[in-house]
Amino acid sequence: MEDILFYIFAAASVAGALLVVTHNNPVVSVLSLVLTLFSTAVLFVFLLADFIAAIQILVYAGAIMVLFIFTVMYLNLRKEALAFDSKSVPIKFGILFVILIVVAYLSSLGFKRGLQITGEGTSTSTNFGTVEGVGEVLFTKYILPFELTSVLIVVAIIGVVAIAKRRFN
Amino acid sequence: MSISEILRSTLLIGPEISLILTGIILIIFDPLINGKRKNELFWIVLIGLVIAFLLNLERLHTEASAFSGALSLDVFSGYFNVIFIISSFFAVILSREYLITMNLKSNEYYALILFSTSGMMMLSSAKEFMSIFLGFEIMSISVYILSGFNRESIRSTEAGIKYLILGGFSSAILLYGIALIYGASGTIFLDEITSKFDVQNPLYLAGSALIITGFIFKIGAFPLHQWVPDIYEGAPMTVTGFMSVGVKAAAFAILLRVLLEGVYQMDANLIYVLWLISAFTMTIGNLGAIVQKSIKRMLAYSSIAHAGYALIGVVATLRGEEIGLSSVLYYLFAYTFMNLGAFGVLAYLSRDGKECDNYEDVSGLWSKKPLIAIALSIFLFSLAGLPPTIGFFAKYRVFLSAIKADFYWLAIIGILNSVISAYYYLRVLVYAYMGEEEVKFPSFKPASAFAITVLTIATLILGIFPFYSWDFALKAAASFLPN
Amino acid sequence: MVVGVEHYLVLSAILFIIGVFGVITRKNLIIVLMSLELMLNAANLAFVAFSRALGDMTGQVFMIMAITVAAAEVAVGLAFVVSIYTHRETLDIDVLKMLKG
Repeated sequence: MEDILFYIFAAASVAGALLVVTHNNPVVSVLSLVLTLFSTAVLFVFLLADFIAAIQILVYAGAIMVLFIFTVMYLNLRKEALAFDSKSVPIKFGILFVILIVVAYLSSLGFKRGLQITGEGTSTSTNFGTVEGVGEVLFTKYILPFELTSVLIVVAIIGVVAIAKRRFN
Repeated sequence: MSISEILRSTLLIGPEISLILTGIILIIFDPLINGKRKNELFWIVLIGLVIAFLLNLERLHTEASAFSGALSLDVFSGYFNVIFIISSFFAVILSREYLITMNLKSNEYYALILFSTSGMMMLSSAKEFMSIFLGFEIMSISVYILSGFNRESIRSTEAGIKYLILGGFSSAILLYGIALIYGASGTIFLDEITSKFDVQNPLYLAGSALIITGFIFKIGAFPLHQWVPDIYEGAPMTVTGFMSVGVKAAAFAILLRVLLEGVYQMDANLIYVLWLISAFTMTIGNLGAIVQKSIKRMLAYSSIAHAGYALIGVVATLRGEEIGLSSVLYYLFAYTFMNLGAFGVLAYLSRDGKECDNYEDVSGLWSKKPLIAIALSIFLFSLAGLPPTIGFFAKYRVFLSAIKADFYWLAIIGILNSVISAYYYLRVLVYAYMGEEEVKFPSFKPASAFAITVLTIATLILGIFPFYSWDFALKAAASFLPN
Repeated sequence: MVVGVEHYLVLSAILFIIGVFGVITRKNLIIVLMSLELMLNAANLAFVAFSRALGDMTGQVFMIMAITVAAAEVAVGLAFVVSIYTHRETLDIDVLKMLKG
């Protein structure tokens, strides 16, 4: 059962990603990106990362995508403003697919050789991937990066104000 | 990690905290003060930087580890912090009048410079990839914003977004590389990665290659240097000066840390890859600089070339030549003074919202502003590597380290490149001393004049008496290479 | 685990390459930013997959940090997009041309 679901959501995320980079209408692109992020969130559940899956949906597929949608709507972008250069599309696609197949093959070889530690189903503690488990690591071992994110967010806030604020004379 | 360990560690990162707090104080007080007095918060910035400098002195003779090994507060990081604090100190002073000339808001600008500096300081001491990544992003995102800070200018805004996209691209590559290394080793601490490193494992090789690519981008070295001219040209002058010294030094700091402590054994061929990168970076930077019509763009290409010279030292270090490391450190230190000075002079000469950009804009500088002309010539002599300036000594040390490590060809390529570079640096001076066009120069700017004077004196004095500062670089290198 | 971890990793490599393709070929700034998100998301998937394979929480914590960075980058990027659009009513930008300098 899990393997069928894996392939369904993996296919959905790849399809969404391809739509993001190929579609001319930005609204469709944004929604496809939501599809990709949501499918990835489902895969996170299979990987026993429940809390991360929730964050992915709330923050990534939710908040960040709302920003994108807002900007697309605010700027009222027309389709032609975004057109792909249609002549070179088949060539670009050909190249993309060749690259994708090569990457899939090479990475499967590389990962198989590289992952010596893989225990299929390594035993995990009971709070692996839960809020408790993540919080315990986040607030002890990785407290410094956690504090640094606050600086990063302050920088982003100042930046957005400095760049986008209108100047009233 | 216990609470007491967290408290102990927090006390150890005083310099970083003082910069972040100063930035936050600026943002809080900015809306509370009206009118022209807003500009006076400038003094708080300087006080914050001086406090950070004083707190950092502690790091120059002690060695400590904080946050259970995430930060290594050694002489190496203290040395780089000195470079970062000096570059942001002078960038702030030079910006004071430049911001008024260009009609830009000052306090957000200063706060971003401070945050960016704190990110660089994280990079110089971090030994764990999560802090490295976040320090990298704090530094980068602040600099993206600073590049696009002049909203009225389309060139500046475009430089900002271009830098953001290309920088975001490189940090995504960096992140993927970290993921591969994490998967192969099961840890993100550099020490543990070193002990588990396995050359046979493709994940290590792919991961380290991606990580090094991310850093090479920030350095602006050969295959990924093309963004440099456009973005350096579009960004406000003082920001260009700041990022050409600060961001570059930070990227070198983390590249050295990851190469020497993390993936040292990566591959014997890595030396030759870096050899090629170094040679191409120098040559392409110099050839690009010759044909430029704008001084700012010429200096952008020259900063690519200087990254190439500094990489010579990295190559020599990888060959096990200890003097190579200290020569890179010294080169970055020297470059801070001379390059910031050169951009400072251009910022000084900007007036009425227009930047001093083309060669014609400095025409006749000698007859109207002789002191500024002398300062400009000292900085350009130093960049060209002529004695008795700091640039000469730094280049001499770098080439010497290449010769000691048996990289004769690299040293020869470097020397030839320095000879070529003299042409375009001196061309600026030809305009400044012999140009006859009528150009209006701005009236006296006290703060910038002060900064330029100090930088000029440092460039000269450290060039004539380099030994104290060179010992300092030796000490930093020795603390880093325990063997 | 029914599905081996390398399946997830191959998927993440594919998503990463699609993101790279988008950044390089698309001209529209918003799409380029979204392609950057795809790349970061692919790296996140790799982190979480490795975290499961290793039975170690670090990968999941790293993913939270990566989301924060992505959010900050997007916020600043979209602010630039709005600013550029008000300047010149187009969002065309050619990353490959940019790389030619």
